[in-house]
Amino acid sequence: MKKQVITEENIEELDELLPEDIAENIGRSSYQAIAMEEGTETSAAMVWEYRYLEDENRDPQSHLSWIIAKDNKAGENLFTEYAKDISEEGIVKSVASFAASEAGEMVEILKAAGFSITEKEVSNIHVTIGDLEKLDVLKKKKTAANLRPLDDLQVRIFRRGIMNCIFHTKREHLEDLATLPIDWYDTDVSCCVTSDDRIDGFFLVHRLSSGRLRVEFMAAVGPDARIDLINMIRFSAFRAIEKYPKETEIILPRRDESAEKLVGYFFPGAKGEPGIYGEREEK
Amino acid sequence: MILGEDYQITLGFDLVAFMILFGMCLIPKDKREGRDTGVRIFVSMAVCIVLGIIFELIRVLMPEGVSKFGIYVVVIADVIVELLIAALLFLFFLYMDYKLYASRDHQRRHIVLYLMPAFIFVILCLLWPVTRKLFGTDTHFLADMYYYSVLMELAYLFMTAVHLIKYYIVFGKKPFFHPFSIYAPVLCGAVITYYLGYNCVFLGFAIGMGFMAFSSADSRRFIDKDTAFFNRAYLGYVREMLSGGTLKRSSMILFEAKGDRMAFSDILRTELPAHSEVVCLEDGRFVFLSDTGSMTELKALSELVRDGVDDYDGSHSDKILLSDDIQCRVFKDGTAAAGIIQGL
Repeated sequence: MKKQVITEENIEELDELLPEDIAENIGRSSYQAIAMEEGTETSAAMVWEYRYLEDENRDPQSHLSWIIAKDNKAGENLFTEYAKDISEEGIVKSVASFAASEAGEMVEILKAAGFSITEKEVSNIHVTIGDLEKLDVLKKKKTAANLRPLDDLQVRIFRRGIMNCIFHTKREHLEDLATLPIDWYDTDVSCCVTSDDRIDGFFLVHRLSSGRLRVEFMAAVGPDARIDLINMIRFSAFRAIEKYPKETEIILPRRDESAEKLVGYFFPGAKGEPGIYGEREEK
Repeated sequence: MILGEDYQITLGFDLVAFMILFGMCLIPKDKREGRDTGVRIFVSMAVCIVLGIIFELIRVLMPEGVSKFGIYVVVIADVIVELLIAALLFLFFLYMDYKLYASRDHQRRHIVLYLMPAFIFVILCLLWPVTRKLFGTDTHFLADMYYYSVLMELAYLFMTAVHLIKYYIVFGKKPFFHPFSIYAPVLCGAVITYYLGYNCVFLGFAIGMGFMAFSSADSRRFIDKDTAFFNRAYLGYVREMLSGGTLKRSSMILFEAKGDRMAFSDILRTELPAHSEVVCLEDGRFVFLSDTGSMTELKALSELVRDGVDDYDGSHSDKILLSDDIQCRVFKDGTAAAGIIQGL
């Protein structure tokens, strides 16, 4: 079996296997993908995301996004190559979290690779545009004066705002948030807030290849952070309702406790899908 | 209206307050501070104190056996002094609000809420015939107005106290400003005024403001007079605190501007995150200190600054000439940080 590093140039080799929502991450600096080739056939492949790789305050981790293997031998070879790649980066821990409905044979592959597996609710919450329409926060129609949609923003001002938010927020955020371009986000639905001529909050929504929406960043760091956040959510919800059909799915990641509380505030009682959680300490 | 007041003691307090304000005027000032909202509020407070002292002197110095006209003058002066005390407390609250949030927009958005105690005071005064019947009092309008004004002042004192506690939680470990130290003389002035009948609220404020002004002047020894960033002395102070473990800084970016450093300092102010901690060294080098440990974020920030410089250099003849080598460094711990900073 031969290892093939998957990049934007050769991603079509996994066209039939790789889900489109995962495929669009290939090319982002924190994502890696490899495939094991047996002749002309792909016997196994995986995509993972590095976290805290260049962060001295935290131990670097690898989060597996997607795995496929036709049999245990292919899976074993896959993880052998994976282990070589992550050891070069000094990864301390590997983590995998999948919805039970999507896990399939991944559980056995992970167990065989030495992952300890537990059942755990997935951190993402899935709602629809139709669910947004029922939110109490939408009863107020007025847009705050300090709120601006992203389509109104110059790139340089956007970057300044992103850096301002990153350096002032304690919220967990995407590894490559500082470098993602403005056109990664749905600029009609995403928005920001300003105070004293500075952007100090963003609500950023990305439209996945499958048509689903995913909230990539929601934080406000100004003096009226709580009100700003609610105003941004209201604005984005209105825009999303105008633009997308009711059944459009929205993914709300709960990366930390703050995000959990915020999602819980708007969707009380909402739970993530039942899932499997695996982790492995790396040498 | 203070009952049983000894005018000589009041005059003495007012004279001391005036001298403190005069002393504050002699402190060397930074011209840039004139544009700062916080400084403007501070100056407004000083103006209130001066006007309050003037009207208090009018009230106190009016001779005994005064004519009917003189009585009106005393009453009007008394009312104005009370309103100036209320104004002073409101401005003090605004000043602490600005110190805490450093945002004019925040004050603009909340000004109606902040003026609510004053609105309630005005409404109570306008509806005095109704409230008089409601509370069953038979006192004079001015007496009731005085008590309403005391309630308004207490409301502003309470709001300020909340801000002070928040300020202390957020900034308590930073140098230069000790909020409870200035609150103490104000409280003493209010207590003495209320219980002993000697009006020394203005003196209390003058002492507190004098402390703030001298503290601010003292802090300027850490400020570079050209760029208004911190200077090398501040770096020494930071190094000591890092070595002692009382301060945490995880990283730095070192920029070197070989050309127009004033223009570069303006670009840093624009491109860097709000309230960034930047030290300006003598040789055109600027050090940005941060709590982030992420090299990715530091590099992204340095690229943003570089883009700002490239734009500037492209359109100006006096160029900034930022060095190609922008150093981004993450510290392992406080001792390592102190060592690196010492080598700058």
